[in-house]
Amino acid sequence: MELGKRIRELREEIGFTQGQVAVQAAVSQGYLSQLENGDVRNPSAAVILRVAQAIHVDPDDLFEAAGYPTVRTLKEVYEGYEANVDPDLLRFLARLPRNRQRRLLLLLEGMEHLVEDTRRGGEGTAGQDPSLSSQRGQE
Amino acid sequence: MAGNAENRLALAEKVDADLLQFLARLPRRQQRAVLLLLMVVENLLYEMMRERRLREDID
Repeated sequence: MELGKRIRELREEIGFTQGQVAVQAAVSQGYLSQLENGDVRNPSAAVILRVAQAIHVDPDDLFEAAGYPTVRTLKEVYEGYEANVDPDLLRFLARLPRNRQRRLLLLLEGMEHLVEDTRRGGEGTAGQDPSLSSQRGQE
Repeated sequence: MAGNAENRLALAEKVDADLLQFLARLPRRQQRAVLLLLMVVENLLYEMMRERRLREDID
């Protein structure tokens, strides 16, 4: 849901007027109105935090609505990834330094491109390496 | 069980997000192949280092 709509919904739930919330959040009522109408592009994190406090909600609710990554959203993303990665591989990778992990990613992407190029180049030819083409077929 | 899931998440957070995403879309069989490859490379590097140290000691 968009940030403005979310703020309005949460404010109305607790029966606060725009004026009351604006005072609490130290913003003008006009600004809050613009925010609720979606007329403010990229409101600052400080404003979002103050509005969240003024309407007594978890700031992450508004940060997520604003498209900011939060600990909660990052956790969800990581949970989704880790569930699909072999546990032994995960354990192995976790003890590598970040720069080596990045190099490994580049290497794997390079290998993937090589396999794709080989497959594309060899399509319909007799000289195609069957071990390379069968790898992509498993996905 | 919950503790185990928490551990896996803690491990996942130590791994580069793009790498994790790349691996997550590979079939498990290919993930195991990547792991074996990494283990082989690690052993090879270890052996090379050991040999170099031995040679340095001899010199």
